[in-house]
Amino acid sequence: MKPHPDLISPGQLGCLLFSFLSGFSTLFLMEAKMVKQDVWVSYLLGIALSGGMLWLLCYVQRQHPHLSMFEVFDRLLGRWAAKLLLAVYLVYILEIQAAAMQALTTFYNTVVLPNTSPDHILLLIVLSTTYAAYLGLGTIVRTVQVTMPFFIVAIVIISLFILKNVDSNPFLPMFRHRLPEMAYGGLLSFYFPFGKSVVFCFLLSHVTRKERLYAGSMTAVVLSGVYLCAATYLTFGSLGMQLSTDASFPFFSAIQLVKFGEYLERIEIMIIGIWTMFTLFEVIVLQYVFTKIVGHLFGLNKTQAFIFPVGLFFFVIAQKSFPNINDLTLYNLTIAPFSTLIPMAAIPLLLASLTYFTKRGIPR
Amino acid sequence: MFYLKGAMTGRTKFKGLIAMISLAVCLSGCSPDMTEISEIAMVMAFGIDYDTESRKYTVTSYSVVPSALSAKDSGKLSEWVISAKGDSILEASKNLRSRSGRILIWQHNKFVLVGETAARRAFFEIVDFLNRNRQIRMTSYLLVSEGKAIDKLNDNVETEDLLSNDLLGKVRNEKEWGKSVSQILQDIANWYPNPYRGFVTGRIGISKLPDGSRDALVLNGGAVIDKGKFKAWLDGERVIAVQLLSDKSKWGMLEFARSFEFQSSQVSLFFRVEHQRIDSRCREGKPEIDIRLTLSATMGEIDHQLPLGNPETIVKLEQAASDEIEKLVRESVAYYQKVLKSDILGFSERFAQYYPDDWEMLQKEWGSVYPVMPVSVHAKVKVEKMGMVKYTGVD
Amino acid sequence: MEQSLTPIHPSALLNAERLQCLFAGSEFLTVRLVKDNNETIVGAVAYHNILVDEKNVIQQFIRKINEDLHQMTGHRDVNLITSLDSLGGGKELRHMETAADLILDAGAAVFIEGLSEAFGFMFPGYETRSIDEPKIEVNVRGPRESFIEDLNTNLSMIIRKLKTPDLKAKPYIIGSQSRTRVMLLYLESRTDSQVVQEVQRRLEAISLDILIVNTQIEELIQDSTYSPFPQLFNTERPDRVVTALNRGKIAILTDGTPIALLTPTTFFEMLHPSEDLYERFYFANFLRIIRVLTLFISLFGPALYIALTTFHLEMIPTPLMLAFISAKAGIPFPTFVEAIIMEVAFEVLREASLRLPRAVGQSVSIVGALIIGEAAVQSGIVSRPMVIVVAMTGIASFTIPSYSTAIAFRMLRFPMMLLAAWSGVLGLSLGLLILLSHLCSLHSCGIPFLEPVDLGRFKDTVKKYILLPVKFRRSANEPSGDAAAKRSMGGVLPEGRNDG
Repeated sequence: MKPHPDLISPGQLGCLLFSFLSGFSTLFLMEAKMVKQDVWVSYLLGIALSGGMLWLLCYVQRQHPHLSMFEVFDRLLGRWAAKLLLAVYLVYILEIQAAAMQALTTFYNTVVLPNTSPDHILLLIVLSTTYAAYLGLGTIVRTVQVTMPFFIVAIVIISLFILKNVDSNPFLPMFRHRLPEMAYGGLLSFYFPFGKSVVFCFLLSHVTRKERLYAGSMTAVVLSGVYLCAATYLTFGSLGMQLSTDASFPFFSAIQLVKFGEYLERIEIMIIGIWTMFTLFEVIVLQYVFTKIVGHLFGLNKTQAFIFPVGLFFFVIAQKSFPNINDLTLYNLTIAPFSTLIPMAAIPLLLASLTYFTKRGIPR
Repeated sequence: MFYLKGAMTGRTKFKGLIAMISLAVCLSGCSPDMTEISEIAMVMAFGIDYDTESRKYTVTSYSVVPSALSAKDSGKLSEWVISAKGDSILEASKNLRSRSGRILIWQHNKFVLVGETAARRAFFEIVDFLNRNRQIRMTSYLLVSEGKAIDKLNDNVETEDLLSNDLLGKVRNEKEWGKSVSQILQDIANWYPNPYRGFVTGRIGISKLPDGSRDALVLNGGAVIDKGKFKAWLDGERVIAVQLLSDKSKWGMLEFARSFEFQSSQVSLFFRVEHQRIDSRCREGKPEIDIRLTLSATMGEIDHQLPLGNPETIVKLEQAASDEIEKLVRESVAYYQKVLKSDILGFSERFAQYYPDDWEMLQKEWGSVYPVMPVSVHAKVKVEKMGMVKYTGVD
Repeated sequence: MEQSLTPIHPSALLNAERLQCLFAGSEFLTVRLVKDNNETIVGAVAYHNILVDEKNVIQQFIRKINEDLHQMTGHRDVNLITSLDSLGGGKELRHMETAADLILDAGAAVFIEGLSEAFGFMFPGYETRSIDEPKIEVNVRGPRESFIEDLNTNLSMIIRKLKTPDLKAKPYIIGSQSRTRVMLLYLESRTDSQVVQEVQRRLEAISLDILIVNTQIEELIQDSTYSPFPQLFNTERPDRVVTALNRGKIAILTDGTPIALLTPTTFFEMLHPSEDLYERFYFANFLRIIRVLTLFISLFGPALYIALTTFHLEMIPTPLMLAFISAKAGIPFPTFVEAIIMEVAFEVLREASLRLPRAVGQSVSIVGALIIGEAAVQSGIVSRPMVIVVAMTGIASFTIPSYSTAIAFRMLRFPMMLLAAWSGVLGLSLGLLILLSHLCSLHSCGIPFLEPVDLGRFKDTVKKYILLPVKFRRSANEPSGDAAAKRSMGGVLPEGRNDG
């Protein structure tokens, strides 16, 4: 009588995707530091690219409505090639989860808890995400839905207060950067955050009304783009261009400036609290999907028992990679945007074209 | 325990395991980031001085500690000033610990006082240090001190209040008279690396009380910082225009007084800005600035009786007041342009934003263009209130 | 049990002897033989001499039967049956076991010579408590009656408020030794039939020796055993049960427990007392907001204080910080230890005032509060802000109407404090994440316990959290799906029923 615990509606998928994309997106504002006031062009590019990829993936899923994405891989590519490509996704997930965890610990170590060992922070984060991932997709989605209103209300209030500090339109003058620069910024924003949405292809089969798949997920991508754009606008406007480029965590520096009246300031701690919860959904989803992929690779039926080992694996990977935040930044700026094109663009394209051709091939 | 484990199903065993590990993590020692309130001294203001000969920095902290160590007579706080020297600001501030038995907490610091020499020689390091440090609020005010900062912090406050509260009150009062302007660190951090513009921040000095017995801290005028270092002092009269021509956060609540000659009597009005607009224009590569101000004024005092019941007089008064404001702004801006030669109002940023193509050309010769750039000022004053006295004295 | 039922023998004497065998070893069974004028045994009356009002049985019942037998002519069996019929309210019994059950339920079994069935009559002779004012869920404007231990009285209180044949009641007997009566109640047209089946399945699966309190049922039918949160709503108020039934909930009443269980329930229902419905909706909504706030305070109060004063000093406004500094001067304990001491002391006080005889309890809590609060501050063991925080948290936790939920939150405060002391706001948000995802994973009889905000069905969601004026309220509780179809077809429900 219970609805299947891991089935979700397209709206719920959208909520999950929004939190997945928006959690970390405002932390570094890498592309914003690079393309400055023209960053919105890059965002549009990133949104368009990831929208295209999502469309392809939704198309693939709709053509195989009764198969999970893993089975689609198997059917289209054959067993071994599918395993290989799924392994690519495993690597990709490991990569972005390590980047996310490192970003979060670095942030905490810089801003809030300078003396706490990063391993402690990582371990506790992994334990909490393990518990949440263990409870299944249905629960994760409901938790997102419960958390999201708080996050949105908090961010909106804060944004309104930051808006008071903004005097002139910081997105002026427009188009001062050359096209290659903006395109590179677009690539960056495709890599992080928008392109991350490809991970959701493995959740598409859990959605009840397949015909609204694309609408639900694309709304989420666009909304997270709007949020990111607004955050950048507010950051540039209230911090000033110079300081935004210099600050390690520009959006939070902007939040720090918010004062409620004369006495209550530095309320960013509360925002950080809510924001942390929100960001962890990314790690939770990654952990969930990772476990599912591992389960499929080894042909296991029950994967729940693996969530904890996967969590520990995440911990080890995150702990060992990017020991220095500069490495992470450099990696994010130079290598990752290109290397991650394989899972983010190449494989979706491959799947979609295979689906297209097999579909056309059959009537013959 | 073993019995319990046996009774647990796989699901609960798993949850139990997680719970135990989390507990173990938690119990593995209280956090090293914990600070107990009972052990801290709250730094409320600090000063940075620089000695050119020895090339050493002096950091002086003004902090607040509870004066009694028993709960019975809690509620009393005492002030505590210590200072230390070092080769860098960080080192000096670390050296402060040799004088302090308490943990110094900087999160509640509201004021950074920079000595004149330090502002001249080492402004870059100072702002960099302040920006990098996570404990220092971006909303603290940076003031430049006439002479050494350490003297200001050692000074007593007339009202016997905490020095930081007193200073905070003085900063808050800036918008009541307009002849002093203090900037928060965030703005300074955003402006100081810009080679084209300068800015004005607060100027803190000491004046003797009339009886000469004690010194008192005074916040009056401003300190011009240009190209990353202290350039000149600005007196109160010249600061009003800075307030008027800055962001709305500065002029929005500003109320300042001017007195001028009108129909052979001395009239004092106090003004509020209703609307401010600064337009930048570039005609054939020649930059222009157009300033439009709308103000409302209230009668403060008159030394003769005037026919204020007559609308014509009011119109004339308004005209005179507008001329006065225009004169004030025009002279001040000319002073900034020609004497200071420093773009403390950030005109350059406007050109960069709205005329990016012209700015490409302009920025190379900004130093020579700025002092001769035409600036037109238009002020419109409406005298709306006459104060509590209705009687105008003339039939 | 079913297969080994013994049919009633035509010989009344034999039946009586069998009963005596069954009850051998206790003096509780009384058997009276009924004889006619010829001293032939016509029948036998067996009853439990403790449970039954003996005077009533003998005077009214046996004497009447005897008199009738002597007066009437004709066949004695027929006479006896007529006589019994005239008494009314008899139950037909076909097996010895049912007869024994009836006797243990304060009845008298009448065996008639030559008939293979017996008749049962109820003569309850034990004392029950009279209907009282609610003790736990006190309110101002609502009805002032609460359930008692007797199932029939409780049922009557519900049925008097819900006069519709749509109300279905399914009886159960749970407990192989206690043989406790349990009643499942629901409104057929409003309740999801799948949920009813699920609850029935779970109730049937219960195997217990003794059922005394319905907590035992609660434990056995709830979805998650190890959760600190109650997943069934419990209430002592009949009006609350009626409202809940009307909203499509299922009520489980247990003989011997003055508390009814309601399922499926959601987390937010736990936060709303029935009083909400009796107040003007502005104030009811205001109080709802206040209660969510107090919930947060009771969970995070001390933890937030610890996090702010030991990790995030910058967030405290400077003047307040100055006050804290001077208040905390000379306190020997770290904030965390101070908080633990005070919280434990508070829990001890609360427990003591609950357990002590009522007259003493009052004074303990007042004296205790005075001692702990004032003396501790005076001697410099705890700081004043801490006392305020702990007192505020304690008071806040009392505003949650559901006792079991409140106690869960009170206990969860301690891990939260631990997390806050470990890493400040990071620990708190991780704790909150775990708590929220746990709450989201809970189900109450298959229905999610924590209803999320569903933007897709915004209108319904709003109605779940906000109490609208009565005339708009109805559609919020409109039953959906098959239940609605059934109602429109059958039209069982009288019109204009106001639900709340």
